[in-house]
Amino acid sequence: MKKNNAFTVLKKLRRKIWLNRLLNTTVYFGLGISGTVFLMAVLSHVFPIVYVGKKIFYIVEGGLLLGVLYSLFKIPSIEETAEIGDDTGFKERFSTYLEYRNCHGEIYDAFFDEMREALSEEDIGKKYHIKIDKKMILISLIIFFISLGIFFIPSNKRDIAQSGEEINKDLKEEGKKVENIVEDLKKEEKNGNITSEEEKEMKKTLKKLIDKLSDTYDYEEGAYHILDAQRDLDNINKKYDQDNSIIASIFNGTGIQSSLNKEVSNISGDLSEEYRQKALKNIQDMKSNGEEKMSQKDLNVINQMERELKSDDWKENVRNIADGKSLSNSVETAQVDLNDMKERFLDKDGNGFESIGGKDKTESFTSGERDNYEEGERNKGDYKESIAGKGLGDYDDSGGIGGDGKGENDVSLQEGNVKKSTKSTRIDNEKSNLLNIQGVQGEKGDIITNSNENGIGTSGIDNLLTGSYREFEKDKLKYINKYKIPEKNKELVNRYFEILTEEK
Amino acid sequence: MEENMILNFKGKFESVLKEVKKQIIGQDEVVSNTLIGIICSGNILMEGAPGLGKTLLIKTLSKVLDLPFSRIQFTPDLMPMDIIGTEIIKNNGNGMDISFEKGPIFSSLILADEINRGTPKTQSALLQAMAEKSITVGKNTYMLEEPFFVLATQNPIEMEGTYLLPEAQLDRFMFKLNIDMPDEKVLMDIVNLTVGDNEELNIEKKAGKDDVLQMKEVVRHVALCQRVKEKAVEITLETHPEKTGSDIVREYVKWGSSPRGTQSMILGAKAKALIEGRYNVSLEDLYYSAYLSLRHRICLNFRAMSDGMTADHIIEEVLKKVK
Repeated sequence: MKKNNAFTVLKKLRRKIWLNRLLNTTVYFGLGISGTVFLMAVLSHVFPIVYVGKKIFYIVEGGLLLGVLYSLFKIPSIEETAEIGDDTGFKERFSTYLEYRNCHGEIYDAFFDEMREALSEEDIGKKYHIKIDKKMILISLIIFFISLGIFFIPSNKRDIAQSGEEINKDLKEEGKKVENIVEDLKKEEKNGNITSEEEKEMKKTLKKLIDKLSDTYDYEEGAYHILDAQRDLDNINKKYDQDNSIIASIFNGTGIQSSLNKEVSNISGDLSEEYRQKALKNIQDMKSNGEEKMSQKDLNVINQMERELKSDDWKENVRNIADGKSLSNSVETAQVDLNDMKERFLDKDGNGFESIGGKDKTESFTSGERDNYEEGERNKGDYKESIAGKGLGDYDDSGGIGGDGKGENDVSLQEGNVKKSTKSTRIDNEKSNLLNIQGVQGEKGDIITNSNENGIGTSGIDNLLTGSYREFEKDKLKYINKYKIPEKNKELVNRYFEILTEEK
Repeated sequence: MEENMILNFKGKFESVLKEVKKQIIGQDEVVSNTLIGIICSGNILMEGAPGLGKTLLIKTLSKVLDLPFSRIQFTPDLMPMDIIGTEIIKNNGNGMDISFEKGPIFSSLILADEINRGTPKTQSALLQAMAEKSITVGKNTYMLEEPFFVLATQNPIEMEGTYLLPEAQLDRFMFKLNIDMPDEKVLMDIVNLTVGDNEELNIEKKAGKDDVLQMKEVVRHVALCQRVKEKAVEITLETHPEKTGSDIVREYVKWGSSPRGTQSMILGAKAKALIEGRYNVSLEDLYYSAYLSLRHRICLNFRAMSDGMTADHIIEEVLKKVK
């Protein structure tokens, strides 16, 4: 029996079958991708989907990659190849060969010889044709080009998404500034001003903030994330805050001891040599009396204080330790930067969407024709001005108080709910109801004066508490900046509002 | 197994076929399938109108293969002993002696002509011979010589006074062949050959008993891959209404093929592969053999008969399903 080249043929055939599968799978995945792209393109006009172009690109790229990967795992086995080869008209010779290739006998030898002859007569590799579903390719291409057409149609939702993208880019840029803060923390840690543990926790908080900012498409929300980060930083500061009592004990019997008990950071005046000796003695006493009873944290503070008292620039160092100054300083620096950032966000938030509506929208708004709540609401950035000055501006798709009327709504302002008023706060829709509004009608039909017996917005208000807090927060910060209140007091005000929020 | 026979199987088969075709015109496929039946030691039920050369075929094969031939004409009064033989009392000179007088069944090629005209009792006399290649008379069992082949014929018309073959007996036939009316050209050739002034044909012996037995041995050794085996089993199961996925089978088939059907299908496919010069069975061989092996094993219901549905239609549907 001469050598049979069936395996060589089968291997060659296998590669061809594999290629066919790869192409076909890619075509089918292409169809799936086209369908998904079409869906995305349509949805992007219904919902504001940010980075839709990029997402479509990722879908196309990912889908094709997945298709290719899937095909790579679909390599046909040699048995499968044999069956496919047999189906090209080779009359089950391959399948039989694989089963009987190790058999010996006259009939098998005859079979192998006959197969060899058949192989020399027929080129199975050529007989197997790569078939691609052309119809599927055509359908995929049609869907894809239709999707592209739909994609480039301008729409309001696409504009909104575009704005969101720009905000997001801006927030990401701001995120880079947070990274700078993280870098500063590393330096602080290297300099020994903060411990690695402190640095780690702060870094974790700030990294979390960066992540959140990169997933945020609204300045307001971005400001919230910063606020959360600030709270976390405060908590870290508190967590690692030193136990003042142990420092007070060290300075027991010195002139500064009484003030230490109240506020450690109040160490002031001369730290004389006498105090130093006394403090060192106190440390020795504390150690000898109950070193083993002390916590590790206290022991660390005592040891550090002892070292610093013995050093040359002991006065400054001792003051720093007593103040817990390093961590507080780092936190404070970060807080200041974050505050600035937050301020920028809130400022941008006020103006951010103004460009969408434009001035002409304001006119439409006063006519009670607007139906876009967001645009309408954000047309007027300043709450107080809107109410006092333009009256109608802040109302949702209505003519405001009394329809076309211009009214005084101090009650609403006091309630602080008018900005989010809905129909329930309106006295009338298009026409003023003179039964409810007592006033003088002007020449142009507008109400010059009126008084309202029922407070507008006293019912049907569905305003979130967080919204009010945001407004207060904004005002408060403006106030603080205006009068240049010291940093600590700023924090006090911040704290006040935090507690206020928590209580509510 | 003779190596020579393995390599010359196709040649030998074709030479026999060619010789038979001198006498039998226009029935190439029937001749070929009958020869396959003889080589495989199967039995064949042949259905066709009278005068289509059934008897002539078996006679010619007998000459070409140089095998003894017997013809049994089945009639309602034919008794089993007329087939298998009987014990008779003979005077051997010294006295009376009982001896067994062999019937026509003791031959190699048996033509059971118009088998459906025989009574069930007589028909069943063939059962043991066809299945076990032996017969029992009284207390004695006699082995039939190999090769043993029964070609039974039945007439599809004139059904009065006939006895349909029982399913058990039908199952013992390897193939059922249908002989159709020849076309114009073939008919003209037959006329020229049989009623003209041509000299009598000289039919030569092309193979012998040993050749047939060797060919039978070769057939059994043909390589059969798992894929083909599985397909054969699948086809058989698909003919069963309770196991099929085909609506047409469920609707028209009372019961499907027996395991003997699968065996016949594979054996026939093996012989088909060999006569095509291959030493492995292909699916095409199997599909070809399926019609021959299953058509008499599929029992159709009354609805099928009233709708004009035939077993061949059913097999066609089954094959479409499994392909």
